[in-house]
Amino acid sequence: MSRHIDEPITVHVSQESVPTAFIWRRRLYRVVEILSWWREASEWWDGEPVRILIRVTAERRGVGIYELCKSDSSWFLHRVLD
Amino acid sequence: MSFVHLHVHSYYSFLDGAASPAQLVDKASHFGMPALALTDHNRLTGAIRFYDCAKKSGIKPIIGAEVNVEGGYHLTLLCSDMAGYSNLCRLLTAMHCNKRGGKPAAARDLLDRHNNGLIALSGCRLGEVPALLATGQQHGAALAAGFYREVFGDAFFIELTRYPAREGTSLCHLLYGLAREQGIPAVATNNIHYLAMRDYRTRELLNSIGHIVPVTQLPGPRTVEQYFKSPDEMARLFKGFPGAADTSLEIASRCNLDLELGRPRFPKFDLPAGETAPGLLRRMAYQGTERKYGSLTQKLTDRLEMELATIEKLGFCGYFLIVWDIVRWARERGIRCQARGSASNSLVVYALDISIADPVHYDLLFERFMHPLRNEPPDIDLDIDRRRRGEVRDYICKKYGEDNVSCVATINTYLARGAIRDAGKALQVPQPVIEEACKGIHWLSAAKLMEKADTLPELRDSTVYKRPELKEFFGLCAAIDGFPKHLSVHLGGLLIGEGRLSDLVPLEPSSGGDIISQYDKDDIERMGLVKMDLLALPTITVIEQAVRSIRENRGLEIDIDSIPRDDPAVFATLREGKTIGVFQLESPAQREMAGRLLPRTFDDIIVSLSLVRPGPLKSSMDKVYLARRHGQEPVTHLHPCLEGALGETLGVILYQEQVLRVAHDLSGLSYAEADGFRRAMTHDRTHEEMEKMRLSFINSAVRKDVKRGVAEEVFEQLAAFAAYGFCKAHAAAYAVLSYQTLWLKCHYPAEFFAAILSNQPMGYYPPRVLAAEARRCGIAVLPPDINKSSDLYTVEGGAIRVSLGQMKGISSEAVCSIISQRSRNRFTSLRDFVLRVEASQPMMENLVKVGALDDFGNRDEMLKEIPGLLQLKRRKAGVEMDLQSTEIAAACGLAMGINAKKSC
Repeated sequence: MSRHIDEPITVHVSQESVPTAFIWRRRLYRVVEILSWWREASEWWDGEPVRILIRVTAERRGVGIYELCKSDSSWFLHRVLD
Repeated sequence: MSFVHLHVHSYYSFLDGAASPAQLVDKASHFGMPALALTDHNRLTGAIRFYDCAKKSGIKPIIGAEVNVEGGYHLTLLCSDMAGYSNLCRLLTAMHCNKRGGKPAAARDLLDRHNNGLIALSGCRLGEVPALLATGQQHGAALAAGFYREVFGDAFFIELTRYPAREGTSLCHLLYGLAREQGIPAVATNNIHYLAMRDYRTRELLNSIGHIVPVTQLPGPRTVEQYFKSPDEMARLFKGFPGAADTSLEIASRCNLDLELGRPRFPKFDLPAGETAPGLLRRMAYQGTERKYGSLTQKLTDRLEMELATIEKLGFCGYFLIVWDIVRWARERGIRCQARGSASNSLVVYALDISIADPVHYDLLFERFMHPLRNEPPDIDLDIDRRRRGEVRDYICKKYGEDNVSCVATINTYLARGAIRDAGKALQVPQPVIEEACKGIHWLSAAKLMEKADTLPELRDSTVYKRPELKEFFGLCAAIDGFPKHLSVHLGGLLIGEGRLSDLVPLEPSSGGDIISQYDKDDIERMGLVKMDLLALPTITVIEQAVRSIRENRGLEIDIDSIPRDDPAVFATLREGKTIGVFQLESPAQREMAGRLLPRTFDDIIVSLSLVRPGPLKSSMDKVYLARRHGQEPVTHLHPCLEGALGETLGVILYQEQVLRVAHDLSGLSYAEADGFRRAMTHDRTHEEMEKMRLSFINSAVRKDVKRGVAEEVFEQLAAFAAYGFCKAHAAAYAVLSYQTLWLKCHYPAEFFAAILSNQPMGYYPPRVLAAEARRCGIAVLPPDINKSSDLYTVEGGAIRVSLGQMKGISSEAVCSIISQRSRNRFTSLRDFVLRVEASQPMMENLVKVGALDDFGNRDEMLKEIPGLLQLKRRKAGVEMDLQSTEIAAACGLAMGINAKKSC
């Protein structure tokens, strides 16, 4: 199961541009592992840019799976996987 | 880390690729790749350009194609050598020529027959093996892999493409597993369709144009990953698949195709026993020259020897004999034909009766046509009587074999209008916006549209190009500017192979059913194949019909090629500007020029044809020439040594041949080098190249004691002229046709106008203007008459009778029916006409309306009678049919009875 979120987040990245942590709803989540990443074709005819999606495991009180999305220079939390 | 992309589409995948071969090669070069493949869909149209480009960049070109195989699957094929290339050409030809609707596809037995020299990769996700695996058919996939391995042996590879996605990349793992299980090597590819990731939009736009659906409704999965990835990216992507990336290098090392571009591959001309091509050509050239000039002077002999030596040295004797044979065959059958273009610069061509312009009399330069430094086959284009071009084509096919002859393709590419219309539909831009954007841009490229929108008067008033919401749209139109759209038939090009054409050139049927090459004329030339341009020229048909009509009406036999070229009446007509209908001299600009030039000789016609062109007119060269001609300005030359080259045009550079002479006389270049210089100046060149050329020209001139300032000024004039120069040989050849049509108009206007009206559409003016001009010349134009009119305009007692074929909506079958019925008995009434002629009611009504049946009564009354008469005709036909049926039935009954009796 997954929940569609699509909310803006702040992402901290390493020198190699790999996400290390993100802040969502004022709470910090530490990225434990990058599980996979991919790029998605957008509805470019409506002006949307290509989106980069990164599936990570991140921990706050417990560990969860999250999909971070980068579109242009903005980051979003795309989904939370239960 | 190194890698070679082996599955690459260019924009020659026709609406499924968004990069040119040159861009792909540049990218490979940028990444330091040792080789690159081009594998467009089912065609090799981009292969020669790609091959040339890659060779120039020091990259090994690998030619291949992604072919469709039966079942709708894809297969990537690469040529390892010439045998593989030939097999790919044959395979593609067979696929296209045997297709029955839909896409071309290779049957399994076809792959089996054409496997030699080909390397096969299992293909993209639409390949048979991956497609079966993706649907869980492991066994079927293994069987398919087994089949391909059986056909291609160790030249079959499992192709791995890996596009990370939400769903993962399980297919890649399944394919890799199958490859290991079956012992088939796996190779990494990226199925490239565009250069950079952002270009996926252009590819999707092209796809939606190709599928004729809005871009929002494109079928199939979408990806942004099919861009030209670097070796490092490919290595990272296939880290978990050991050997897959390296195998690309191994495959590349097995591909060593040498196309030997430029090597002449001319068909063999059937020579009489004991004869050689150079010997026969020499003999005929000498005989022809003697026949034309009366005797062989030293000047003629020297020129013949020089031309023959060049032709022989370049190995083109057979080509000249082939053209000679075609022209000879046509002329023997009364089919008028003649060379156009630079070929008329050759005395050999003139001596062989291929051209009608005397190169010695008009001082034409052979080197403008061919010379040892020009590494291209000569190009002799023939203008042929429009009605009979098919006969000449059939002769060539018969003589050289159907399998050895095809038409040449033209690649239709996007200009601004096409791009706006197609992209507009795909992106659902409102139709009024598309219409407004398409106004007044007939000739413009989409890439230059935005740049010109503010400056061109026809676009300045339109706001559509400035609307911010359309900026992206026009950007996409510019992105597909110049992209190939489809193949079509070249107007006159006919390709003759040295053997079976499909061994060297992939062929396919055009939409009209002609067999065409997948290569265009430039690629054909690079392949060293013979291309004949047989161009249908209606003016030749007009001359032929007029001469025939004069013979039939007046009993006069006219040899139009021998008419005197100094007829005062002809030049008086020309000076008065009464040239409507005359070949190349009828436009308002030409008629106005005649009034200013006041031509008195045939040479003046050549000048006129060359002056009334955009270049000379824009640069006011015409004004300088005319002022000098009429003594209002002194004739001056920048240097005395230019007098020889430019004396005939009063110091003005008018002809391309003069560029050669000026370069030769001023800077000491040979004529062959001078032609190279001329050609270099007419092509796109960089500032550096131009500067290099300038310095070389000036330094050579200075070495010949020409002042630097003069040399610089001459060079500037040559450089400016190069953009608009006209080939004098072409002008001379066309001046002959201009003169002949003008002569016919002067002396036999009825026959001339009847012929020109019969061949519409042609020329500058519509039929009504031509008819008015005929009347102005004192020729009555008679209305159509079903008992007198023919399928063409005819001359009747000095007047012109309008043809039946001219009627609106009338079919050629109806005209045939009228003429055929009339030849038995004249029509005596409307009833007689309706009952005997096979034509529709609207056709008959139109004939009545234009007065073709006026002899039989009042038009309105006849129009009322037609429906009733047609009903009567149908009834009569029904009765006849019944009678026929009864007769047939009776006959059958009788036969059955007989059979029955026999069987008893």
